[in-house]
Amino acid sequence: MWYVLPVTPNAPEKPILQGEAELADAIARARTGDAEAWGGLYRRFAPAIFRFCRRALPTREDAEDATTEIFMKVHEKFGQYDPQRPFSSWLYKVAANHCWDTLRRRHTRQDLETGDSETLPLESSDPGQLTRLIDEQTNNGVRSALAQLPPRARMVLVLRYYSDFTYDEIAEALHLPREAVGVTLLRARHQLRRVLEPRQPAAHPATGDHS
Amino acid sequence: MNHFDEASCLLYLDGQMDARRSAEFSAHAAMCGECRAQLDALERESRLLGEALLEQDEPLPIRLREVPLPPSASSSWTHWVWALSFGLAAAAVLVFWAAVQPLAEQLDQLGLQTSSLLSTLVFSGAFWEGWESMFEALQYAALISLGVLVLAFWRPWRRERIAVAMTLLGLVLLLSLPSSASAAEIRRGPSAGVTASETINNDLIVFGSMVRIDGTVKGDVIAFAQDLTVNGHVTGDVILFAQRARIEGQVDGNVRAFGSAVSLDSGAAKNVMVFASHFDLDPRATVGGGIIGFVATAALDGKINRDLLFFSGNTTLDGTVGGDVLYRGQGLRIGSTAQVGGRTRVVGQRAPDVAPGARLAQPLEFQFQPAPRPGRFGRVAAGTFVFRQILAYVGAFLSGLLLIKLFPGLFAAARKATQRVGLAMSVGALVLVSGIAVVIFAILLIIVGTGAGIATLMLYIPVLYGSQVFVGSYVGERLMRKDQALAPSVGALALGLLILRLLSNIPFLGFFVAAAILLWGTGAICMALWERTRQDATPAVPATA
Repeated sequence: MWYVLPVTPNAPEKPILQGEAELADAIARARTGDAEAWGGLYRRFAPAIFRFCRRALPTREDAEDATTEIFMKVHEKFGQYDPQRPFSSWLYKVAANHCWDTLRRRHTRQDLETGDSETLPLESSDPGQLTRLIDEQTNNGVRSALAQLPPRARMVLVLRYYSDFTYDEIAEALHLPREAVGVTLLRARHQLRRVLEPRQPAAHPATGDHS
Repeated sequence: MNHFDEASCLLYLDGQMDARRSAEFSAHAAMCGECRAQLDALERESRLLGEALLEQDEPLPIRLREVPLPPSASSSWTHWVWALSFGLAAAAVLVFWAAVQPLAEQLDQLGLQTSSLLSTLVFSGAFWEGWESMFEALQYAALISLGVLVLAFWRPWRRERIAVAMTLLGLVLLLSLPSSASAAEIRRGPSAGVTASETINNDLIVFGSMVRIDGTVKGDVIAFAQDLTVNGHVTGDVILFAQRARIEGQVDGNVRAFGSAVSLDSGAAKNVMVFASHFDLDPRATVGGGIIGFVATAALDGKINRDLLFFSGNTTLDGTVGGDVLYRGQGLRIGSTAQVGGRTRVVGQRAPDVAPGARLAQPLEFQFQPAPRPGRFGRVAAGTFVFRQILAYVGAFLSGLLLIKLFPGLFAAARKATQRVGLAMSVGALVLVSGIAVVIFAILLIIVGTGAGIATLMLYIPVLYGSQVFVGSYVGERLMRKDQALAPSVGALALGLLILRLLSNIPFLGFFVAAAILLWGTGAICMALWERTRQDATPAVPATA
């Protein structure tokens, strides 16, 4: 159950909580239950968290729901936050756990890994070809390709390249062994490349639907 | 030395190699163009991914621009309140059906055809215990709709419940649809009407002080008039709200009349329902179906083919009734020319006068019923009383939760407005004085049974419960000292509503309490709505990463 405090009318358009001292102060006050400080934190971070969810989860509606739920969790677990560490990485950690849980609840384990059976060897790619492929891409194209990846691949890319997670953080968030993170990342990149590649009729039987 | 594979390159780039291996790698890459190319490509890919993902492509949706706050106290007991509320609501629905179903069947036997099941339910409410019960029936209906709504918007069963809610809602709409809905012709003016030579091939809605319908209407007539005369031919129903109404022409459908003096000279092919202070059924008149009446004085001289159900203070029956007579009230005189084909039952304080010549097919049955004792407690059995109180309480509580859930911003604004007692009350008074006509008209529409019924029910909910919710929430929070809290408290709402319910049942004083709540709460809602419309105009919060 959740309740909502309205955004104060005529909210100033100035950037919110940009300074570090200001941010630290807002965090400290929000932890003691100061609603104004909490509102400031929300306004400061909600857009980024929303985009995180938007990339990690399948639909826009899911992302909207998740954003609210993540902030509810943050509010609940404020006591667990260690002020010595950056607030945003803690926030992303909560977000990552929430989104991954959401995806896991919805899919069976097998679903999460469709298409990347872990026994499959990673074929080495040709750097020249990869460079050409990269040159052709737009940001939008990459995002829509990302949306077509299976959950785990998508999640690992988002954590690494959106949230700037370390390998350790990724391992913790996705419940992976530490050593597997690199391979998972690389496999996800390969999957992404496959989606981005211009279709080659005979190469992939699975996509051979056009004559 | 062998080339490093792609995975190693990535680990190297991401700084995940131990120092020794990393040094090996650097040394190798310095000499090996192939590995450098690999590294370069991977790095560019990382950059592309970073850019694509970090691009601020979408601003925060409007829905998320309000700041979420969890309840101040974690409340495991609210689950129990929920379960209890749903249980009670379900019980109310069950009791409602159990009580109404037989009545609906009874009505069917009386030949009352209603255009939809929903209006049948409302009618049943009307005959159940008179007018007061009709409001109660509305309350039940409101409660059912509320239950459906809560179900529809409650989070945990988001996907399934939408299907359930849509089905239920569709069902309600289907039930409430009139059998034939079509756009009606509307006429207004001091002496609006239909001239003798005119034929209208449509439903007619007419407003005027002196309304005459001399021509033909091939459809229903709904008339609002001071003085109404129908001389022409109406193929559908006639529904009239008039001070004086006289129907001399032919009506092929039903007549439903609300007025001060109503007289029926030619009758109607189907049923007649009349709420009037005086009602005349002319000797020439023939009613194809039955008559249902709530009438102070009446003279029934014409012919009624089926049953007569009458609530009246003073009635003379000189005509013919083909079916049964059920008369509640006093002062019934059955004249010497009267004929009754079925049973004659009279319930009241005084036995009817029966003239010697009257022909009753079966002996008169009279049941003595003492005059109602004044006061709520005397009239209503304690069990029913408690049940009704619980019903009202649960209804208000459910609406409160629904408001918190659906319109959290509005709820917060109304909560704030409630604190300005004086202003809220005067705004409430203003709104109610101007809005009360709308509410009455809405209720009338439900009686008539048009499709607008369901829409008015939706209007009825906020008026009935909304005011209680905000005042209750305010009172509860004051008592629990949570009025400075940021989020509304469900516990305070429950407590506040309970107190309001108790207060408004104090004899005599309770009425004023209820009135004050209504004014206060309505005012707060209006102020909050006003505030909200102003807030929506403010620019959106800029997106920041």
